[in-house]
Amino acid sequence: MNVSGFGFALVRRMALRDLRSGEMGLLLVALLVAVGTVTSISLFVDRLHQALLLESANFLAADRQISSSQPIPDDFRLRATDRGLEMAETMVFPSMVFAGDSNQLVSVKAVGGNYPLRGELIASDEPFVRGYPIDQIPEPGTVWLDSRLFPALGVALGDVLEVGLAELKVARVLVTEPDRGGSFFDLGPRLLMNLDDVHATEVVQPGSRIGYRLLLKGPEAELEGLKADIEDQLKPNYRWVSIRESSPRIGSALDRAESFLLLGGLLGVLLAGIAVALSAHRYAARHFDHVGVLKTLGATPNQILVGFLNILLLVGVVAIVLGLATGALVHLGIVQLLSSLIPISLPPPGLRPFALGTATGLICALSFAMPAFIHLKNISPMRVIRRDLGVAPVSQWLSYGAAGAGSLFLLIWYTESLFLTFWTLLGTLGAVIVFGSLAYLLLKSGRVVGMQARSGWRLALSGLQRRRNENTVQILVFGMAIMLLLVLVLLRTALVTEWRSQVPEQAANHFVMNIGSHEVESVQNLIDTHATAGDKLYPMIRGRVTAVNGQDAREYQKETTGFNEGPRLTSERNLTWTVGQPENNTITAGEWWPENTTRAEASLEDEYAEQFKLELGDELTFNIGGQEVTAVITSLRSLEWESMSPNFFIILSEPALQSLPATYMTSFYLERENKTFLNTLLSAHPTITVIEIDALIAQVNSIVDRVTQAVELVLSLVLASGCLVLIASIQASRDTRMAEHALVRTLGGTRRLIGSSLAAEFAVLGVFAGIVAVFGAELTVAILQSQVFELGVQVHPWVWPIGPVLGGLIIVTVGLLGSRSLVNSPPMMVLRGMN
Amino acid sequence: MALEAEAADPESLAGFANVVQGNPPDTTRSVTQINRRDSTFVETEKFMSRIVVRAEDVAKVVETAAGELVILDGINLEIQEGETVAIVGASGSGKTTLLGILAGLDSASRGNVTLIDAELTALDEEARAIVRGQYVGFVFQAFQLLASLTALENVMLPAELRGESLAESKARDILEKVGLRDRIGHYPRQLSGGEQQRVAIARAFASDPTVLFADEPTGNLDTHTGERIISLLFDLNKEFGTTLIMVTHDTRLAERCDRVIELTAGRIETQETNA
Repeated sequence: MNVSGFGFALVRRMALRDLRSGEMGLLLVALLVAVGTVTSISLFVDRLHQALLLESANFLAADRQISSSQPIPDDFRLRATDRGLEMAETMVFPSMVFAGDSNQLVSVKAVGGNYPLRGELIASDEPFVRGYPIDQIPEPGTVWLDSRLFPALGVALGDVLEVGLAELKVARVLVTEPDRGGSFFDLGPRLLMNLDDVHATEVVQPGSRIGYRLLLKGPEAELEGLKADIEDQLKPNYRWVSIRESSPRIGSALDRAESFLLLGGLLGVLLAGIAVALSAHRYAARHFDHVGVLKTLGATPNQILVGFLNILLLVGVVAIVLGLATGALVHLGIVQLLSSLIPISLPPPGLRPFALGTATGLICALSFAMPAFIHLKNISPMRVIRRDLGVAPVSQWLSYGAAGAGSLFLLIWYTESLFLTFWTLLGTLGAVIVFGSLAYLLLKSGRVVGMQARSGWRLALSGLQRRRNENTVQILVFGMAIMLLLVLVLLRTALVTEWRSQVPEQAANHFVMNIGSHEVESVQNLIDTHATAGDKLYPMIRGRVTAVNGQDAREYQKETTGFNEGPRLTSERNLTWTVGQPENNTITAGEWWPENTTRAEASLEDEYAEQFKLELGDELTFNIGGQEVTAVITSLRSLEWESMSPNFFIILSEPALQSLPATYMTSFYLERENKTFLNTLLSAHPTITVIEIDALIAQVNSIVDRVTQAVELVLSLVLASGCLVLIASIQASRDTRMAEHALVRTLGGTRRLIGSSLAAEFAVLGVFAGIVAVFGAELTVAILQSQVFELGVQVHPWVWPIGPVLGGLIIVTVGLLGSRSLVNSPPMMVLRGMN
Repeated sequence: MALEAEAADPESLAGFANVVQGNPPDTTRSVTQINRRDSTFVETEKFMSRIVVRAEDVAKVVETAAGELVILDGINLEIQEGETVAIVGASGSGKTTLLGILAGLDSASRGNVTLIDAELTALDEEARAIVRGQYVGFVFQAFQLLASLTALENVMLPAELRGESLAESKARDILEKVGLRDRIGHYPRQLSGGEQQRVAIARAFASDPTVLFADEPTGNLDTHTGERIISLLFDLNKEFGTTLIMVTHDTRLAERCDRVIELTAGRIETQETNA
């Protein structure tokens, strides 16, 4: 005899019958969605994460860089070799190049080895065309030139030019190299040459401004190992660079996207978990009689327990297998869908997402479904002859404890962050308490309305009143589901807007510098005529701070900030003067000077001021080309660095700089097809410098696009989980409604009355849930935006009416669809079914 | 262990003591396991006319919002093996509660109940379930078939719960006996009320019960079908030598029993033996 449970054949038969009759269907689907959501999201995130890192690595042309103004020590190379890391080296330095009578200041990049380790070089055989990827670097004795250097130097492919003392042949046009980004002012017209030729140029002399870089590529563990090995030798002269330091904008976009995807996936699972709990409780409730019969036939409580847990296990295993397959298919579908939009090759997926999916399925089954199943063993066999015998509710400690423990485990496991876990739990607990009371009060207020209502409404409102406790819980569940969806929609909107605003449409993608004062008018005219959006021209004067309030600037910095490393107050800076306050600059302290000021005034970027402990009223003395200029700080500004407009740490009033010689700079937006305008511009003004950042912007945009799509995908999966919760919740209360409405119909209530009463009941639940959801969403989004995503907090009045209306519509629709049989079945069948 | 096959045979009950006194337990459910939980009772004497159900000063009291409610009070009765007993009384007199307590479905607030040789009041639900599975059959007013199982599967269920391997052939035989050979693959919803009750009767007799408890077995059936069901019940009862204890409102049905116990307000009002 099998005392440990029912025989496997019986378990299988009961599970199959329950599945076929729909008793187990919702539980299976809820588990399947939990597993499928996690598997597909983590598969996609896993591969996307790797792809994004790979793509981001292109900005460095490597996985990591070590950069310095000093040569890279051999020790670093040896250690990297020991760890099996791939290496390449670059040197970047400014140099004057000559071609016949023409000369031009260029930014030389000398490369060697397998450069680039990530990303690719794009070259072409004529200037200003799109180009092709090329798997080699300039051979010794040759150089590749930026398109704009061809008109500037008047050279063609095959010509020879002089770099220092070396004569090098122009072999190709360089369209772009992956690690061109970085600081603006590195972006001079590029000349790419072989590292082996650098010695021959003899331009590298003591005191030369040279940037040395060691590019590294290899497994993450080895890279981090190398970093640990050389940590002590890095400071103060060498900088370890990863994508996050090298491009903070992309780094933070990645961080936020990862947090969002993680949060989205987690919410999806928690929603599915609620659906699992609801459907498991309903399944259990519908098996009370069943268990009673089994007990009269001699099934012991232990047999019931083990037998039903086996059924749950069987269904769980089926759900997990199907969920993994569904997750994999959904993810393949998404990859396919996205591949037509963006041709990227995602790295193959690992096993982790599948392990995550399996574990999630098991945890959901254990923590959300098991309490209801365990409770079945407590059903009294007397229920078989006394149907009015109540059933003690599932132990709340067991139910909520198990669900809480499961959620906690999942939260910590997914987020790997106690901070996020703590806030999510606290938020949920707070929401349950606050919104539970709110829902209860809302239902209570419905009573007054109900007294004056007619027909369907009256029936609906009295039903809501009668089952006030269950309905409060249902409003909470609906409200939480809608709230989570709203949270994700709002966050998605905020994040995407934020990302998009980093690179606005038609943001300037070209900078022009070194414009002589005699060229200002002509350059301005050319830009206005040919470029889409021109910016104003800013005078640019190099200068350095020499004194603060009469005290030597070096001493001042030492006294006030106490450190000797990092940026120096006395470094040479680009200064400008303007009459009016520049766009994208917001005054945070003091006041912008009046147009007709005669004083020498200074306006500082607020973080710059804070860094050097400079305040309003301080007097700064500048050394500009040997002349001393003193100005009083009268305002502090915050800047939008993402605006792609010329931005300055220090702006002076016109009287301070007007008499000094300046060159000018500006920025403009140029369509790709109008690129030849650069030829015209450079032919007319060969001495100006044009910096093209369109490729960089395109790269940032492509990452933002991809991340946005991933975010939208997660949103749609979470939406599916949310709908599942709604269906499960409606199903859970279906039996009680069914009983009541069958009774009303036997007493003469028409189908129309039942239909309208149901619609009214669902509408009230939906609207109340919507109100709860809006409150909750605003609060949660505010916390998440400020604490997790580091975005500004704002309210969203447009959501306020949408929440209740959407809640009402969704729940009426889902509710009525789920209750069709309730309205259409003959009441006798319903009443019999209840017996 | 041969206990299950011998369960219907009073002679074999003497074997319990041997099992308790040292024979190794096997996986078969038996009173042995009950005794291991509670060694207060072991009956070893042989019976010619054995008492299978005994109630001594049984009371059932429940707490309600209005205070204590006495459902049964001072119930004393003994039922012999093979006897047919009807419990009658007005609604609310406590007959269904008494049936539940005698069958081990419910527990008494006071007093002792002995079923076969098991003192139910001293057993926990786990042990009571074992006693039910081994010696008791049930027929209910609302049939209580599992909707998700076919007629055959419903009848097989008690034997399956005991892990018996011949469950199916035995179930087929008994379904044939109740005239449902052609309906064995049907689900309860595909059967009429009479047919459902016949499946329930087949299920009750499939485990060779010593005592059969019936709660208003014809309550949900029309007169004609009800009479046929009663005939079937009594015929099988005779054939299997089962003790039958039933709750009924039907006086004709009560008259067919050996004894009629009438309850009033939770107490035994009269006990009459039919000729």
